[in-house]
Amino acid sequence: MPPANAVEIRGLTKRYRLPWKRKVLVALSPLDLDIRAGEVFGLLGPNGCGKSTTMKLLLGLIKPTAGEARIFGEKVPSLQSRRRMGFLPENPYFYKFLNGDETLRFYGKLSGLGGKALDKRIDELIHLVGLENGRDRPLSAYSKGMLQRIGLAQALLHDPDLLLLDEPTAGVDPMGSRDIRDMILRLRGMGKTVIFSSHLLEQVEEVADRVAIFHLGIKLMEGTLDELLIDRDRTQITAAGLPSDAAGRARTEEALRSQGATSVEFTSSRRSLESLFMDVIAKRKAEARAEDARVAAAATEANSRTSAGDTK
Amino acid sequence: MMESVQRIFALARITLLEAMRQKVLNILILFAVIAVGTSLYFSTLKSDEQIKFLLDFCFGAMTVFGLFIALISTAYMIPNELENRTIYTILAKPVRRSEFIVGKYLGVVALLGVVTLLMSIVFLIVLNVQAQINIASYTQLVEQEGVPELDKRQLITTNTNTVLAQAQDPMILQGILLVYARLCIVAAMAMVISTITTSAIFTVCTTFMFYVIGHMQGYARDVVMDPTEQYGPIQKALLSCIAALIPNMRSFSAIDEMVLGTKVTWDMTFGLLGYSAFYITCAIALASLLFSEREL
Ligand SMILES: Nc1ncnc2c1ncn2[C@@H]1O[C@H](COP(=O)(O)OP(=O)(O)O)[C@@H](O)[C@H]1O
Ligand SMILES: [Mg+2]
Repeated sequence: MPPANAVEIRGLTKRYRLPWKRKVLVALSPLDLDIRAGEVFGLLGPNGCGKSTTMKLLLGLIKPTAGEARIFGEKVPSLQSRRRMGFLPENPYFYKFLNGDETLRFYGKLSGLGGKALDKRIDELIHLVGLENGRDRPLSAYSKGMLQRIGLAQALLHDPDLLLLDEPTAGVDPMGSRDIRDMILRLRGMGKTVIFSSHLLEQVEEVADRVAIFHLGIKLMEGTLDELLIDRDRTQITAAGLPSDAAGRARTEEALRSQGATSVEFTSSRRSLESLFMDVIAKRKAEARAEDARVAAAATEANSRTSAGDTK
Repeated sequence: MMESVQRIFALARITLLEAMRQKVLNILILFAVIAVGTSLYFSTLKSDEQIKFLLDFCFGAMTVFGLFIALISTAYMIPNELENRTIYTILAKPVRRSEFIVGKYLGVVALLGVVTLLMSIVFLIVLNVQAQINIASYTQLVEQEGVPELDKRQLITTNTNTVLAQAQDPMILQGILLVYARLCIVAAMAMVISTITTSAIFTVCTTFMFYVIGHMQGYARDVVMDPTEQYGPIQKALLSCIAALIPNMRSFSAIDEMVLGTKVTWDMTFGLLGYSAFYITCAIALASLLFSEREL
């Protein structure tokens, strides 16, 4: 039976000695954490709270001061465990002189792929992350968003079951960020386990099944978003068409109080800036497409008219 | 096993490609080729000394420039990987630390091979141009002297044969191989040092120091072996370390002796190449060991 937990962390600790300050810096206090197979798990917290440290420990890029961790039952660090992990580091950079295809080919070789299988995999991934326009372009000409995409493709090459994404949306524009979050959800749909870190809390809400909040290397709390966020004492009602004048509001409040409400608060519903932004851009894109279609239609019409004239 | 070879090859290839794109290295390579090429203009010595001078000068230039290229390309390799963060994505793949070190080192060896080959081609062209000049001027000289026709032919043929024998001596190939082996040893030393430091400058300086000490290494070994020497245990321990850790660069003086006209046998060359391979294997094993303990 496969272990139900993708990741099991027991007492994992990382301390750095700072010799010039004669001080010890605790990057990660003894951490116990289980992450279930197939879930999207968010590591949250301000900069320097130990998110990257946790990921690097799982990958064996740094050595723990104490404690241990297992990936699908496999002890880390090990070659075997890394076969099942894909990693997107924060602010990834790759060899600038390689183009998208060559970059994936290089990492594919490192992952043990080759020949036709690798060619096919590269095609799939370029398509999955939407980098068709970056295949032949050197990475020195890539935008931040494109680097993040190639980084994600690179992490997915050997079809790992667990993905570690360190700040995948940091520094990426809202559209790119949206795409990356959609991709995380798609990965979950494929049955992958995803651990990602972020300090942008709003973005975490919509993709994470569970989160842990860190501060100064200490895990403060952990749970599903519902467990952490739902306030069972308060109910938010969103209604359209209610009267907005004082008398109307008084009548509404009275009705609610008759149902046992102890306090009632009125605010106009306000959407998030992000949803506005996405709407505006989507609308503009649709208009542009319609405009293109109109121009194209006009052109064909004009063409057919002139050719009709020619035949006369 | 096959996968391991594939990973090492991929790493070596990318290292070579990256190095060939570095401005500093390109300029050094260009200078090296020019230096070897222009040696022709410096050779204004007596005719029979000219070829000897060229050999001396070109082997010298190949060593100096090769040394710079070996030191710089190796010393900046790991620091650059860390700075560009490429090392994180590479080592997050199922890649062993030792594979990383071996792949990177083989990339440098390939780079040094390209550099040595380029310099050698120019070197051989220069030698043969000089040989043709010498033959032509000797022929002219003989013509002017009014020597009898039969002797004239004989003299010219003899001279041509000697000059060509000097310029196309197979020992030159041995010299080139030894220069290359020496550069590979230096790169291996730099590789070891770069696994335990973050500063490329430190690696360059320390490796160069070891290279210089390597020329006095035979002396250290003699002291350790000789029971009559009046040295304390600490000095002896230190000298033993030097004798064990630093390669014996002095043995490569075969190149200089060859220039002076001493015969260098293929046995001797293969012996030195074998010694180089042995030292490099030990150094790279040590570098892998040190690098697997390193925090990234
Ligand atoms: N090599 C190192 N030496 C000393 N301190 C380090 C080192 N790497 C990270 N740290 C410290 O460890 C803490 C946690 O860092 P990190 O895990 O990178 O934070 P984040 O949550 O922003 O990813 C920080 O205070 C950082 O300064
Ligand atoms: Mg971080």
